[in-house]
Amino acid sequence: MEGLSSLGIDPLSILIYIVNTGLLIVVLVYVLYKPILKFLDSRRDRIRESVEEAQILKEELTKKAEEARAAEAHFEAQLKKETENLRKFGEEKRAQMEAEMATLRTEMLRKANEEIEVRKNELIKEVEETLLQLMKKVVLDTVKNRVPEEVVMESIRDAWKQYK
Amino acid sequence: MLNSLLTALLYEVLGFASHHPDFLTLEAGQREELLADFKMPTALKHYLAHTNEKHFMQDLRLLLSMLTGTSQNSLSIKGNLFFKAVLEFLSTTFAGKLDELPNKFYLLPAVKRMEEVEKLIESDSLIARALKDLLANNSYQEIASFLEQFSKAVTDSDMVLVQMPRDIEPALKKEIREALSEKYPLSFPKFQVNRELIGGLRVFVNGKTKDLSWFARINKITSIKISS
Repeated sequence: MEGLSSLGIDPLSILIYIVNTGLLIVVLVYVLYKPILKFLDSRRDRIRESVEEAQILKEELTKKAEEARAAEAHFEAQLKKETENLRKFGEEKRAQMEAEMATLRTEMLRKANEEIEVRKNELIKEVEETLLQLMKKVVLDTVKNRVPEEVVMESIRDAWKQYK
Repeated sequence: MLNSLLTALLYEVLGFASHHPDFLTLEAGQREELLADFKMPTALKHYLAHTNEKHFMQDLRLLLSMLTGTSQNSLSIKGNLFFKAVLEFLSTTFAGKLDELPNKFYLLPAVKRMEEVEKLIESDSLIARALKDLLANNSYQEIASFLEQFSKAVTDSDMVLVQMPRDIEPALKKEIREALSEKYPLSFPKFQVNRELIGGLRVFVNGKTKDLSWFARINKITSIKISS
């Protein structure tokens, strides 16, 4: 002990130091270490929860993305189908319109032909009538003014014989 | 128009009756012998030869009532034998004389017309004078229309009209009239010039037409449809 004292080391002081250190450790454990641990635990929990939430969100996002893709695919299919229907409808309408136009064209052509035929007949009739009137005029003029008197008298005699 | 003729006929008949007061008591043959020298149209001679006293007196009364204008009903002469005899004379003998006159006759002055008529009817009896007056003082249309009406009043005779493009010679006119009178007894066929006919003739009988004119033939030819 005296050796320690010669060296300047006091055992009591060492004890005191040890007790102090022990006390410090106890204090630190209760005052610092535990709150820090508690803080760390809570932080770890929050991180884990965040990660889990992120995971859930990620899963939801994936699910939504899949749904969106499915919806897009459905929509595309629907669109394709509608487009196809529209194209078919358009084709049908076009065919129908073409048929109607063909019918109309045929009808118009028929009417035009009829009109032409009627007009042609009218023209022929007019020409005929004009021709006949002209013929009549020429014949009447000729027989009225150029037939000798004796021929006329003979015609009366012949007509009378025929009448008898 | 016929009054002077009917008066002349009455005068002649009464004159004859006064010379032969027992005429109507005789047989038809004896009457015809007596009538042979009597200047009277043949149709009336035939009437006198075959009528009886009763009918004769009735006819005289009717004739007198007509001449004096007391007859109220013009249809009373329908079917009367005396008027039929007059009509027969007018539609045959007189119509024949009428046909002998050319169309230009009706354009002549009155004096010339009378000269022509004197040539046409040589007799100078009362009946002849009445006929001459009738011809000299009336146009063909007037005489023809009157005779047609008279014919209609006496019998339901047919209305006959012959149209020609020119005036024809009397011989043909006579032939046509005789043939038509035979076909349509007691009718008075009228002749009419229609230059539009050009040739041939056209005959109307009671509105029905037999058209044998050149005009009709030309019309027929020119009405044929080329396209048909």
